[in-house]
Amino acid sequence: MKKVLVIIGGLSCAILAIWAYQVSGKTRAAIGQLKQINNEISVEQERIEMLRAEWAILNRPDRLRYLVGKNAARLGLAQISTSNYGEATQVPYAIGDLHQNEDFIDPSDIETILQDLLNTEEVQAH
Amino acid sequence: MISNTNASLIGLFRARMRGADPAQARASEAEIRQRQRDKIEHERASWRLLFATVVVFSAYLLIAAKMAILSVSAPTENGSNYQPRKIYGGRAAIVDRNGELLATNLPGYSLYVEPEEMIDPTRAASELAKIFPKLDQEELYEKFTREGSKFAWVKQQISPEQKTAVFNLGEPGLMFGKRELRLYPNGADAAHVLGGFKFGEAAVNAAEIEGQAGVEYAFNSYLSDPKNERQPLKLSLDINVQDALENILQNGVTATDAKGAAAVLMEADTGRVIAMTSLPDYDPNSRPKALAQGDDPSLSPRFNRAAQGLYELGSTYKIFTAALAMESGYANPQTVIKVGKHIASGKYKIADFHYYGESLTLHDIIVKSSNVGTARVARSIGGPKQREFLEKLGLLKPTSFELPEAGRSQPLFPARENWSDLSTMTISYGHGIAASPLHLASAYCTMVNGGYKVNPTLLQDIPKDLERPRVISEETSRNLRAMLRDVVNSPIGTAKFARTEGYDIGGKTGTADKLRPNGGYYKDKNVNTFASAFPMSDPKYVLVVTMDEPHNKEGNSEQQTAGWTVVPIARQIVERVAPLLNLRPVYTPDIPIN
Repeated sequence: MKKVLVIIGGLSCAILAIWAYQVSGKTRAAIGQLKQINNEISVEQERIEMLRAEWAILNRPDRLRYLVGKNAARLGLAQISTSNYGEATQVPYAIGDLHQNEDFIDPSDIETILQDLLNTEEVQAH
Repeated sequence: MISNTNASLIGLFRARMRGADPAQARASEAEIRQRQRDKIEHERASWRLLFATVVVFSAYLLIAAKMAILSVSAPTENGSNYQPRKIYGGRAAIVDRNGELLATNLPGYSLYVEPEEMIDPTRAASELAKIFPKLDQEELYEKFTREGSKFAWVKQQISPEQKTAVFNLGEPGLMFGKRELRLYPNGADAAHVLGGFKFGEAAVNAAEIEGQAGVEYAFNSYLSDPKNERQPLKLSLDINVQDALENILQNGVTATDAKGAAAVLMEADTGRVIAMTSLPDYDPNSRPKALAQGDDPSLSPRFNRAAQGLYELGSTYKIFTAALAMESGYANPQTVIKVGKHIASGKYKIADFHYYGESLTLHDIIVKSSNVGTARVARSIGGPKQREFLEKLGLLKPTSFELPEAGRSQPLFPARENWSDLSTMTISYGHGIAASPLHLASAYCTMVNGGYKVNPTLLQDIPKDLERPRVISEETSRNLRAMLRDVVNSPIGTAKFARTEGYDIGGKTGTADKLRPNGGYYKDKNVNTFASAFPMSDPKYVLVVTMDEPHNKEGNSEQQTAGWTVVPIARQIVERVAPLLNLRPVYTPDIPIN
């Protein structure tokens, strides 16, 4: 009886030890991986910061204003003024049956249309 | 108790009496004792064994239990032994109310030299002087050849192109250190708000960035706190509005040949500043040096005219006199007040720009901007009440605005004992008292927002339950709005050029003679101000524009009054900025003031 217990104890001890060793190894590997990923994250964050700064420089209001002025002939952009606003009553009523107009988009179809658009874009990208 | 020796002696005697062999008897006795000792030892040993077993077993059990728990629980990141890599983004960014970047960090380089490693100091000095024209070749050579020198800075901050150029020299003694740079992507836009930076403690591979002025200085502890690294400081500015404001004002300064200008746009209810500009300005990426001692600091581009500059703001103050008159029950807008050609105090005479007749209503005194009428009202109410009222409006002490420059802006006014009748009269129309355009904007917020005190702020997130003490009544505020609207809309108003389709502007002009540095006023130099609010039916925004010595040269004669100079510029600003603020134009004429 005693011997059996000792053998069982010894065996379970050995099994536990092997298991613990494996878990410890995996943990070490995971920590290494974590460090690497965190490194990658901070490198990416650095790049994001850089891109954000670049974006801010390229889109700074006075640069955009300068570019709009320089390309006025091509773009024909004018500054927004009070005349760009309209009243809701100025929008004309639709003529005829909406559903027969080929430009009419049923709001309930928007999901499918968007999905189709995305799919075609992906195909083109490939 | 019998001692051991005695006990064995007793045994000996007993054995002798029995006639046994005393030696044998002693041996057997010893054996019995030995057995007893062995038994005790055995018992002890088994207890120890049991104890050790229990301890070891429970230790294993603990480990096993912990492992069992670990094996069934969800994995979590081990945070304690991971430190994020220190990157250059140490200082928090600054963003505007829409999250657009106003200031951020970039990696950069510094250049230093280790003279012992140098191969050809003469060539290095001459080549470096070519790359950096501001560096002196002889000084560099002296630096490179100094006896016993192991280290010297060449330049704290160099661009990537310069780094490549220096690298291509192939001189091993020239070294690069890492540097964070502070970048202001919008250039001169909002320069005075942002301020600038300088390098503090400098080591070879890092240098602390310190705020030098503006927001960078005021919020230095927040910005440099590593725990805020990813939490940008959100300002109430809107960079697009700021740029539009600066652009129009700059054009205005050029057109009117003004020495400088300042403008403040703020939310009438909360005091949040949407745009603030001071011209001439500068690029915070390379902040200009301070002027030499003895020069007038207000001429430096670094000087923030909007928050720090103190000006006599002229007739814009008349609205405060009208407010006081209504609050104290002295008059209502329709009360007729004697005006006449002039009003005298001692040897001084106060007159109007034109003769406005013998009497005017309080409403018309404001609309036509009569000095005489305002002075009469103020003299009747009295100096102490006037002083108390201006104090309540916050016009007699620095504002609580966050910029360090604003804290130094203590308004100028006569001491209590010198606040004479004459002072009361001139102060009623904004002379003999000086404050910053920011002061004026805050006070105008109170005039039009229903009468609540407003503290100007640069922070987008302000406490919701902010206490807003009431300064004037709802009704007074409503009457003042009607007056301000008529200054613009009425054919007799002084700010007719502010009329615009769709945006219901109201405001008050102010043309003040400029002070001579050694007392007295210039006859032909003005500081012109237009303090306005829009839309007048329910004012959301207050705009104050001030220009230093503008001239309107259109037409036959040169015009220097506010109505001809700042007012058209303020109108352009509103027309351009209101759509950016999502304010719809309304074409219904004369919406009642609510």
